[in-house]
Amino acid sequence: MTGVGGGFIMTPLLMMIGVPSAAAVGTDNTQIAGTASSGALAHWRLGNVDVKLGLTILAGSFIGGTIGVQIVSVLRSLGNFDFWVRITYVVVLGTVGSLMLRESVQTWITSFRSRTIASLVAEGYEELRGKVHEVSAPPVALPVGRLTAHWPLQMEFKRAKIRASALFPFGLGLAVGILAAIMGVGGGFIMVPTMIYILGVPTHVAVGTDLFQMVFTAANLGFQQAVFNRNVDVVLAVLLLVGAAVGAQVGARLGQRLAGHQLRTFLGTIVLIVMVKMLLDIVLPPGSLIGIATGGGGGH
Amino acid sequence: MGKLHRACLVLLLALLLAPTLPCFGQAPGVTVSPQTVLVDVNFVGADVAISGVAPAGAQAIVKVTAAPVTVKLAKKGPVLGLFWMTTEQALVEGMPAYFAVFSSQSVDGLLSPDEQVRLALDSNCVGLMSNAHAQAPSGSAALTPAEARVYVESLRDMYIKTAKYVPCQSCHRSQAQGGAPGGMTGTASGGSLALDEGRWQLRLRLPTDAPLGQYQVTAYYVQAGTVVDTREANFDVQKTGLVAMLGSLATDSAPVYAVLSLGVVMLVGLGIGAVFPKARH
Repeated sequence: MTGVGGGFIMTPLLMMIGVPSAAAVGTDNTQIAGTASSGALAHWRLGNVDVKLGLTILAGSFIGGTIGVQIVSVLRSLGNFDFWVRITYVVVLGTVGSLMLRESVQTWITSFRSRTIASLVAEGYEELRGKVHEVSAPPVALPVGRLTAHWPLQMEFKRAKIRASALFPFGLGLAVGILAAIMGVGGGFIMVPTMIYILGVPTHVAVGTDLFQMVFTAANLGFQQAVFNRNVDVVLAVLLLVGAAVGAQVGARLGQRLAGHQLRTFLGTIVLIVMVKMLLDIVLPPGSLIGIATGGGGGH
Repeated sequence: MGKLHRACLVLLLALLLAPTLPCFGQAPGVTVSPQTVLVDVNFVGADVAISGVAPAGAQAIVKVTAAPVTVKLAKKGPVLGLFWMTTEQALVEGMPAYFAVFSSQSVDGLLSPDEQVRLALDSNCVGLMSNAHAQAPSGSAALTPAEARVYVESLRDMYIKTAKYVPCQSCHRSQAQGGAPGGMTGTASGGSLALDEGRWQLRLRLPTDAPLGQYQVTAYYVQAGTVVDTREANFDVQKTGLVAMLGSLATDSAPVYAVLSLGVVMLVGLGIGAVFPKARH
């Protein structure tokens, strides 16, 4: 419905229904490998994957993911993993949700102004005709990409139609790998906009390349989480996968009835509500000061 | 051989064997069915039928406990005056993972408070907690006895809240609440105990997240404020099928479990991609 993977909503929702934070993260990492695999295969067949760019990102995300899994392990032993997951989500969801809402509200305003000016032009105010094009001009790509032009290890990424330092996608993979391990996300909501707006990769190639590297990143994370942190529930992962597939079909039909900015307003609002819930969980006094530590106890 | 001789032989044989029979001078043992409760993917709790025979005129108190497990507890505290995060941890050992008491009459009316504590039957679980202790994880400052007690009591409260502990606070249903005349019936949230002409039956309701392992059933037969006999039995709660296979793989062969998990989710993912190709493209 909204065109995002939803990993950054899935983990908080699992935590809200009582799944221990570490299990939510590990299981989500595993199910993302399944979700991404079919999408990656489809994009591969369509020629939307820049393998060289994907492998460069993957090199970073493998290292980042390995670091992230060890961070999870240390935080769990300190008993504060739950807190750090929540505060990471507060920061990330707060930023993503705010940007989404800001962008969608701007689109609402622009759309409203454009329609108003168009109706005024239709009523005879010809001097406003130029304003119609002005308010509906597309957003300009961010110029940050130029900063990396002087970095070493410049490479040609043919399918992506860009030339950039390999250090940038490597660093991007490293950062997203760490975040993915701690948050239980695929990282598409960071990776795809960065590739499009900073590296200048065409949208379909950015999505395809992201899904390609995500399969291996998530598989690496799922493997390491299961081996080192023992926090993967394969039955839950399969249930989430099937549920997400059915939900995606329902969402796709609902999404056809709404405009893009309306969908982004909807998603941005959900993201901010989840962020507020996470924030309240760490700032409000808990109902009981003593509880079973993450990883302790458990059912079957 | 005359009839008299045969009768004497039978009588002699009966006298020789009588002490070995459970019904001779003492109550027979406790029967549990099923002996093994199997936990599979569809497990939503289980009923366990437990029965026995009380000596004439005695009342029955039945205690069910699961093997003790070590539980790690975390204590939250304010940090920077804004956030609540874990500031202290402790390991609690010696607390059974499950505990329930059922009685044919009010336990308070059958046993003195001291005796209840001694047998770990009291409603506050004081007797049960006397075998438990809390200690700080290695590398942390040692807990004072008062701090340790807080952790043990907190774990007890958590267990009561999640129905893993069903102390005999209200296990005896009075006549006013619908019990049978003469205080012959008792109920509790974890099951119900009925005593009829010396024979008692308990239907134990195990919760969905019943701890795994061996459970011990102890039947105390009480007469005039004294335990006159005790009988014990055991039963197991075990994983079976897919749950058992995945559980043992995840614990004993984590790399195999990880590869299997990834293989399964990827197959399911590709299957979904094949079922909904248009949506994926």
